[in-house]
Parts: sequence; C-alpha cells; structure tokens
Amino acid sequence: MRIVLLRVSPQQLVVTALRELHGEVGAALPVDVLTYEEKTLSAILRVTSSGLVKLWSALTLLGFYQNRRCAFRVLQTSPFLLALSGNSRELVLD
Amino acid sequence: MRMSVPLRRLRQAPRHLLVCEKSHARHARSRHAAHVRDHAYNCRVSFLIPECGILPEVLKSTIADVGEYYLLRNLSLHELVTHEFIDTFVKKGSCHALTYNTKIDQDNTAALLPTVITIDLMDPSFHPDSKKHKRVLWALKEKKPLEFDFLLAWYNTGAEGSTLMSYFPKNQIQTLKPKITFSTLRDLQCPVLQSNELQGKPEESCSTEELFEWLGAVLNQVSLDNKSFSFLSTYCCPQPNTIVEQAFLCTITGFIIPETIIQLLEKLCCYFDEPKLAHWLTLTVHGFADSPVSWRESEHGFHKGGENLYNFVVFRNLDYWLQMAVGTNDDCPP
Repeated sequence: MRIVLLRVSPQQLVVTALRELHGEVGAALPVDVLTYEEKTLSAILRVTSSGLVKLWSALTLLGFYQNRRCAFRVLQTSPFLLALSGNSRELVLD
Repeated sequence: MRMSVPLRRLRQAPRHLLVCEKSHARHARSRHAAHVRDHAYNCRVSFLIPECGILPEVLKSTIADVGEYYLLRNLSLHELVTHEFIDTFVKKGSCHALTYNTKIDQDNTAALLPTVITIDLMDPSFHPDSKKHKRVLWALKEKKPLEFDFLLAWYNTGAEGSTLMSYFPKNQIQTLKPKITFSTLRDLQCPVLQSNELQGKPEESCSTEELFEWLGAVLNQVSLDNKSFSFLSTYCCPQPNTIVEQAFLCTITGFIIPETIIQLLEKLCCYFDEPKLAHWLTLTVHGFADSPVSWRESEHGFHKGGENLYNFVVFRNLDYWLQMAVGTNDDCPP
C-alpha cells in the first residue's frame, strides 16, 4: 500500500478538526501550534484548559483530511510545557 | 443562563499543582537537598546556564562520574525481599528499583525505595525466621509469582563486597550508562528575574510561572519570538527579557538517583563562586511518569499525564527558587 505524505498546514488541520466536530464556534477556539516537525509529523499544541476536551476530541475523531485518511495520536498532555520535554514512556534504553 | 451539565464537563480539565518555595542554598534550614533526596525516581535531568558556551570546569568531574544503572529482566518480586539481597545491597547503601515498561494506570507496578518501604526490609522484626518474613515471602511466591523487568541503581556508601553484576545471573542483568547530551543555544531571549520577587514586578522582572513556562519553551525548542498576529503561535518570551549571546544546555537521560542530582546541584552553586555574567541558572528534573510515588511516599498516579517534576532556579547570590509540579492523581508536593 502506498502511503503519501502531504504537506500539511498544522494550523489548518486543527481548525478543520474543530469545525467538523464542534462547528464554527469550536473552530474559533484559539490554539497555538508551538512546534511542528515535518519529519515525524508531530507537533506541540497549546490550548486553554477549558478547551482541552474540545481539542482532544476533535483531533481524535478526525478521520479524513482533504479526502485522505488520517489519524491523530496524542502522545502526551500536560498543563506544564516543561513536562513535555521529558516523557519516561518514550525512554529508549540502549 | 445555567450551562447544562454535559456542556460544563466539556470545559473541565484535570487538576494539577505547581508549588514554589524560595530559600538560600547556604541557609542552615534550606531543604533543597532533602527535596532532591525525597524524589527517588528520575528519568531526565537538564541544566541551563545563560552566558555560557561550554561545560564549566567545576561540573566536569560530576558529569564524568554520573553512575551506571541496571536493567534486570524477569526478576521475581520476592527476590528483592530475600535476606541475602537486603544484607548485600539494601543495608549497605541506597538501593532504588522501579519496574520498567509498566504503565501505572494499566499494569502492576513495583518500586523499591531507599528509605522506608511498604514492606520495611530494615525492620528488626523482619529477620529470616520471623513469621512476618515467611508471610511476605509466601505472599510473593505463592500462586503466580509476580515477575517484572526492573530498572535498578545502587549508591554504595563505600562498603566492600558484592556488586549487582556479580549477584545476578549474567543473562538477566545489563549495565546501562545514562545518555548525556550538550548543546549551546545562540541568541537566547531570557527572562529578567529577581530572586525576592516570585510574583514578578511589572517592567522589572518576571514571575516564577512565567519562568517555568519559558523554560518549557526552551527545552521543547519552541520559538520565543512570535508576533501577536501570528497564524501559528502567539507564544513569546515574557517581558522584561534580555538576549544572551549563548547559553549552555546539558541533558542527562536514564535512571538517575538523587545522590547524583545533589552533587550536580552543589556544583552548580559552586559555579557562582567566581564572578559570572549569568544572573541565574536552572536545573530541571523529570520523574518517571509511571512511578507509584512522587516525593517520599506521596502517591503518584497517571490520569491524563504522569508529570512529577521539579525545577531549581539558582541565583548568583545562591538564593534559589524551587518549583515542584504534579498532576491529577497526585498528593501535594512537600
């Protein structure tokens, strides 16, 4: 099976996900894309705590983007940005 | 208008705690070493020194001496309560062990604390012929003995004798060295801080929370220079700030015992023995997300995250801020 990686705008992805599940009001939720790494297709997003459930649910339930299948996996969440720089669940031992 | 219950739940987030204390490293009643010692399981330690380009001389030997740790495969839990193990390792130093690759919100997890533990191996009534010892061994051996992979470290207080490598079968134990990386950050925006202003002072200094978030941005390589109209991110370095030409960042990853961190902290304080351009430096320690305890025997859990971390900001005059952060299923830090 051929897998095609798109050049995606992470911000646009997030807004689309929010709009699909939570409508126009949901899409207006301010979300910062603090980092985006194209190589690993991973990003750090920042949202107010009251928007966490909306954002997480929207991303989890986004199955298609621009007519292509996609899936989001939340690797780590924390109220502290500093906590995201150390995840023992990803500790690799030589 | 009252919000309906489902809508209200949509806006709820799990609770968390961030506490901060201020003291002086040379103060007789400073608890900085005690707090470090009480946080037994550490997977990542980073220190950041502004206005510094290479590893300072005063830290070289501590970094070179960062101790090894061990991975023990398929260890039965009862092996940690045998008298041979207790006499050889537990009583002759401080022994730390934590199950590896177990998720505390899904799996069984076990941990060996160097001081008081749930089954107190140092209790005089826990001698080989006592009912207590026999009962504990029976509980752990009978039916299906619990077996785990363990991360283990032993801080030897100088006593001669067996080593962990000679105690366990060769095919069961593997020695590992913590991974150490260095980098020099260029043209870094750093918050201006005043040690006696924890809340910050408008136009003069930043608060502890702003520093904590800024440090998270630096360690995650977040851009500090976004404009308020940016489409991607509005995060920027708190004001007031200064730009430093260079900053030295060192990160140690592995199974790191508190004794190593205490030595590091002491050497970082010694860094300011001679005049330096830096006004402050930071030392950040991340605990294991799946550790059953955070500080001492305070319960730690994993709700949406397993954070238990702390951060020192050490100032030129050796005042320090200590910030301790935990997540939802955690007791408050000491």
